[in-house]
Amino acid sequence: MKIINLSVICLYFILAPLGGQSFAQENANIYEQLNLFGDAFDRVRRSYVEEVSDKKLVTSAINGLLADLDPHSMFLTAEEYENKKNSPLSNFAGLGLQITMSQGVAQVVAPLDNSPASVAGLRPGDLIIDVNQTPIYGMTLNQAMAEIKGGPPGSKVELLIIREGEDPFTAIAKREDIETPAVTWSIRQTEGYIRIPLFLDSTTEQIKQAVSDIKASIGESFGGLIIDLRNTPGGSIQAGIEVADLFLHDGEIVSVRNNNGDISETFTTNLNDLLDGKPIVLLADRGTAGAAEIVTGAIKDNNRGVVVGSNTFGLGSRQKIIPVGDDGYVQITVGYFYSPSGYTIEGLGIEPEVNIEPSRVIIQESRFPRRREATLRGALDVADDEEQTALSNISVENDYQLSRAFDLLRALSLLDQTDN
Amino acid sequence: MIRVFNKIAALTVLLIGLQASATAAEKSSYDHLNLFGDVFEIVREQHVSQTDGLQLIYAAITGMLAALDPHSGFMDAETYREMQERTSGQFGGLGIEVKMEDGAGVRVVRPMDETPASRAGVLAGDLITHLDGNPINDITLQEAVEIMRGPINSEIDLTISREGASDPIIITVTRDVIRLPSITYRTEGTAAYIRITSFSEQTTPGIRKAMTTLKEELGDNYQGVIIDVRNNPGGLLDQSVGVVEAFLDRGEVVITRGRDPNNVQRFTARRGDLADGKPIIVLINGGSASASEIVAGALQDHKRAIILGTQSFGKGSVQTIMPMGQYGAMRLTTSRYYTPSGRSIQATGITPDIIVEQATVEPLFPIIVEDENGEEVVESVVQTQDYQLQRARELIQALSVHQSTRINN
Repeated sequence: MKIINLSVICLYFILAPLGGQSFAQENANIYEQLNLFGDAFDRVRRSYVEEVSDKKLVTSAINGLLADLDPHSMFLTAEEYENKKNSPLSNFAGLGLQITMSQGVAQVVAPLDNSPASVAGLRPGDLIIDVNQTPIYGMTLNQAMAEIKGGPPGSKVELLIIREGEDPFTAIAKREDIETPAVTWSIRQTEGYIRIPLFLDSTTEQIKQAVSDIKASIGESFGGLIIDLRNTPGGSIQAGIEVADLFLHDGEIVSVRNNNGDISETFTTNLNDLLDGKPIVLLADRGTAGAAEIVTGAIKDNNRGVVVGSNTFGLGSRQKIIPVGDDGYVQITVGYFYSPSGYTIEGLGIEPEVNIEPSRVIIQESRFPRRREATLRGALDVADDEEQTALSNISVENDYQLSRAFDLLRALSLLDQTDN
Repeated sequence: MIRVFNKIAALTVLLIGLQASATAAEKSSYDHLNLFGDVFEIVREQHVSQTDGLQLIYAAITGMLAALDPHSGFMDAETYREMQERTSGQFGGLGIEVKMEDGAGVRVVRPMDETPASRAGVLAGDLITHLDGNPINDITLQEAVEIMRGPINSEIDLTISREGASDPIIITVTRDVIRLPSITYRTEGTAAYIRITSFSEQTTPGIRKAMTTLKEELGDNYQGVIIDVRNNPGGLLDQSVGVVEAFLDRGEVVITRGRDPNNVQRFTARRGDLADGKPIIVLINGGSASASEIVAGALQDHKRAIILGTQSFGKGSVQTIMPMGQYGAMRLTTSRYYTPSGRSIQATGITPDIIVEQATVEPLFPIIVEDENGEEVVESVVQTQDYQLQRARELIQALSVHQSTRINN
C-alpha cells in the first residue's frame, strides 16, 4: 500500500496546479479517503480467516455506506431494479406491509387494507424488533423487508413489536399472495366517498371512473367528496402528483429541495378540477405516507379541501436511481418534498386542519322514552311527497373519523349551495 | 472537473493494485473497486445531506467488516483508544470504586490499595460532591468517571462530604497509572481460589502474585487451586497462554490456524507449575468465552485440571487488531484456534468433565444448632449460594485425600 500512497501524492502534485487551493485540498482528501478504503479492502482480502470474494466485500461496503446515509438510499442489483420497476407490489409481498427504518429497527408505515399485516393488528408507528426470532437491529431496509417477505404464502411470521405505551408483544401473521389494491367508492346521501389504498400507475384512471360513477349515482345534487387516505402508505410518487392534479384547478402540487436547499423540481397542475370546486374533505392519519402526504399537502395548502384526522407519517424524500458498473444501480436520496406553502414533509408529516383521533362514541340513553309528535294519538301522517329516500351504501357507525368527516362535508356542501 | 478527477483517483488505486500480479482475479478487483469509487462519487455529489467523505468511508469499512462475522468490525480513533485502555488494564486515574448517589454526587465504595486516592486519604463512604470545584450532582456516573480520569501526574481537587466532619474536605489527588485488576483471589477452604474476570495485560502477573500470596496463607493446608472463569468473555490471547503456562509444566497450549495452510502458530508452555502439581479445578459456564475456553481446553486436554460447571460459549476465532494510523483500527478475524488435541471450540465450546448446573442448596430437614446463648435454633435455610464453587471445593478436598492415600500406599 506504500506504493499507492506515493503515486497518489505524485498525481496530486501534477494535477494540483489545474485547480484552486480548496479544490486541490478537497481532492487530496478524496484521494486519502479512497485510499483508506483501498487499504482496508486489501488487508481484509489478504488476512481474513476465510476466502471472501471481492464482490461480497465491495457490495457490503457499498451497502454499509448507503445505509449509513438514510434508509432509502441503497444498492440495487439488476434483478432487484427490474423487480422494483415491473412489480410495484414487490415491497408488499407476504404481509402487505410498508416499513421504513427507525432507531435501527423496522417501523411500520401502514399495512394495506385487509392484508395479513392489517389482520394481525399492526399499526402505523409500531417498531418491529424481531422477525421469527431474528433481530432486525443493524439490518438495511432491504434486508429487513426480505426477512418479512421471506417465505411462501401460507407460512407464518412472528413479529416482536414495540408499541408506544404498551409492553412488547408478539404478533403472528400468515403470508398470502397480495392482490393489487384498487380504488373503491361509495355514497352517503348526496356526498361521495373514495378510498385510495395505494398509489399505483392505474390509480388516476380508477379515480376518474369512480368520480364519474359517484356523480351518476347521486345526480344533480352531488355535494362533495371525501378522499380517504388513512393507512395509505404511499406508492408511486408520480401517481400521487397526478391524483392531486385531478382535484386542483391551478397552483403548485409539491416541490423538491436538494442538498443546497435549492428547489430542484416543482410540480404544478395541468388539468382542470374534476369536481368543479365542490367541497372536499380529506381523511388522513399516521398511516398516510409518501405519495399520500403529497396529495394531502397539496389539497391543504391550496385551500382546496379540509384535512381531517391525525398528523401524517412524515415520509417525504425524493430518490433517484443511477446505473453504476455493469449491472448495478444506486438508489440515492437527492432531496426532500416540500408542500406548496414550503413545509417539509420528511420527519414531520402534515398536520390536519381538524384534528380528530379515532374514537368510540357512547350515546347516553335517557331513562324514559321521549314523546314525539308521531307517537301522539291522532297525529297527522307524513305527507307522501315529502318522504326522503335516503341513498346510502356506506356505514360510518364504527368509524368516528369518517362520520365526522361526512358531517363536515355535509355542512360544507350546504354552505356551498347557499353561496351559489 | 471533480468528476473526472475522482475517477482518476479511483483508477490509480486500482492500477497500482494490479501491478502486484496482473491476473484475471486482480482484474475483477479492479472492476469492483471502481464500482465503489463510482458510488462514493455519486453520494458525495448528489445525496441530500452534506456528507463527510471520511464518515462515508468509515461506514463503508464498517459495512464490509460487519458482513463477515460478528467479531470483525471497525473502530474509529476514539473507540480504538478506549479498547486499548481496556486491554492494557491501565489508565491515568485516581483508583477509587464509585457509585452514583442521585442528586448528591458520587459515593466512594472503596479506594483501591496503593493508588493515588488511598495515598491522599480518600476513605470508603466519602461522598464526592465537586470535582475541581464544579458540582457533579446533575451529571451521570460515566461523565464523572471521565472527569476523574486524565493524564498521569495531573491534579484534581475532590470536594468530599464525610460523615462526622462538619465542613466539606478538599483533597488534591495526583493522577497516576491505575491497573485494573483482572483477577480477584482468596482462600476457599483448603484451596487457592482465583477468579479471572477478563484477560488483560495484568492477568498473568496477577496470577503469579495471587498464587504466592495464597500458598503462603494456606501453608500446610494448601491442597489445590480453583480457577474461576465463569462469565469471563475473554480478552488477550497471549494472556490465556500465560495463565495456562503458569500451571502446565510443558506441552502445547493452543494452536491457531489462518486461511493460508502455512499460517499455523503453536503456543507452548515453558517449565514450571505454580500449583506444585496439586489438583486444579477450572470453573466454566455459558458465559466463559474465547481466552477462557483456551485455558479450560488446554488444561483439560493435558489432564492438568478438572473442568467443572456448564458448557462454555464456543467462540473459537482470533481477531487481529490492525491499526490504520489516525483513523482508528480494524478488528479482523484472522484465524481459528484449536486445543492441543486438535479440537475446534468454534460453535461447540468446552464440555465440562463434571457437569454442575448453578444452584442453591437447601437442607431437606431443619438443622438445629445452638446459638451464642446456648439456645437451640434452626440454621439459616440456604446452605450455599454458589453450588458450583462448593462442589469444586469439596472435590479439591476429596482429590487431596485420594492423592495422599496413593502416596501412603
